[in-house]
Amino acid sequence: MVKALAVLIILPLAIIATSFLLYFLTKSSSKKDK
Amino acid sequence: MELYDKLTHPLAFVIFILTLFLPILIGFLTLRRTKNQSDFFIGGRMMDKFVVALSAVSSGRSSWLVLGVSGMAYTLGVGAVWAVVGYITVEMFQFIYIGRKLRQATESYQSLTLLDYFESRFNDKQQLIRLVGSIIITIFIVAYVAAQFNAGAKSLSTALDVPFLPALLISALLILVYMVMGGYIAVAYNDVVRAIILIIGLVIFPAYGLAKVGGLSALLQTLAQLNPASIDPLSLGWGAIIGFIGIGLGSPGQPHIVVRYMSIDDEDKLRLSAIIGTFWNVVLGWGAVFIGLLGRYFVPSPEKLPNHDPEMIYLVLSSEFFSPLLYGLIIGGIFAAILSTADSQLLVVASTFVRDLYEKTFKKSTVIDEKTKLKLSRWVVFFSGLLAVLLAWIAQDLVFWLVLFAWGGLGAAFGTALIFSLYWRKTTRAGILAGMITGTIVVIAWKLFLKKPTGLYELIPAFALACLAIWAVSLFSRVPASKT
Repeated sequence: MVKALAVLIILPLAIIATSFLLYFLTKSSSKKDK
Repeated sequence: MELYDKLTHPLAFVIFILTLFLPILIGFLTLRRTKNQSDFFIGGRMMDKFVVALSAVSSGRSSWLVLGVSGMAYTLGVGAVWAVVGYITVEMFQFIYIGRKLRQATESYQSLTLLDYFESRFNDKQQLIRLVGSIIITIFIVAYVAAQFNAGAKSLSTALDVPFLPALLISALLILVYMVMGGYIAVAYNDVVRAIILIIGLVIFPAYGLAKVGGLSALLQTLAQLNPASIDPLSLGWGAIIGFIGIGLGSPGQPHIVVRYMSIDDEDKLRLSAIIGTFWNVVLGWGAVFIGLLGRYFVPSPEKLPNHDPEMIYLVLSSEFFSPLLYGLIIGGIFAAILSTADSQLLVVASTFVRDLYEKTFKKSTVIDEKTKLKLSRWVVFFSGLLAVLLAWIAQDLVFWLVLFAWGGLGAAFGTALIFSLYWRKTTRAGILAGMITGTIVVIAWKLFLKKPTGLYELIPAFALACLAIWAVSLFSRVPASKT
């Protein structure tokens, strides 16, 4: 049950959170480039 | 078929027909924005970040997501999430890394297609990459479009109770009319509308179902009673899980997906598109999984499904749950998913014929004016659509045989080439050709001879061997005089 809840609830949230993280990480690197 | 009985309700029927014809209206509205070949194939590189994000997601997901993944979750249980995790993660990185670099490079080379880009990047004067690439794209994608037409026609013929051939012609015409008018711009805006229709089908639908069964815990408890393995995400075994995640390796090689990145007005906006696209991909992917799980709760035995087919679970549940209005919209949503992949792929076939073969290979010493190119592009869209209809009608077995290899073949042939060309300066023209050919051959050979004994999805070894071929052949051939 715990594993099922993890892949049905936490995994999708973690993927979305990663996309936000990538947004901010790449923002700072493009500023460095400039 | 009693499944579609609800569609005879006037309200459901009207809504269904409206969802089918709305794209034509959008095609008409975008007609004036399509003034040249660049507008027709990549929206004149002026597309908004929201449109690019939703369009990249919609066109990448066919009926496989709506019917296939929900059916997989019905059969396998929670473990079906691995089928969506791989491509969602890969596409998230793709927006930010591959997408931005490709957008930058294609603008500096003035490339409209993936093969345009490869030719300029590797200074391929003999045009071998263009020729080999065109053959691979034409074979795989025309078959892919034909299979989408086939699936659309089958559903339409069952839903409206009309024979297969008229249903096939209607499916094709519904796409071709707006594509000929508005090209890429019409296709992209239609993808956005379809993405919104899919909200109801894959978001509101499972949310409503979960509320009805008393929440997620109640659902999982019932599923555990039916089959304890169905709530264990690792019960499939690591081989199957890696195979499912490996589906994602195909994404960078799909010309109809990567062309979206080339169309955005500013490459930096692809970072925001990554968030929008990932959110959207997650919502659709997990929505399909939840529908499958809810299906098992409401219909525990597959014997009760039409033809005992788990892929019918989406249709069965929607006919039970929804009012005629929403049902009409949901059935329209299935066509939306099928057509949003077919139209984008058809545009890739047309750009391959007009841009890659006619303009850049056979007529390269002639200057063709924009008006003629646009006219030609419209005719080629129309005729390649007819070719796909013909294939869908007379060579169904061949079509499905080719489609089995299409996602993997394109992924191994072009995905590896694209990544190496963008990220490894020492990549050579010979290396790219070796990778394309190796990827295609390994996908086909593995599927035919080694898939059964190994149980491994063909794209994984093909991707690895294509990478190896590009790396090894590039090292042994001369360094290109490249600008990148």
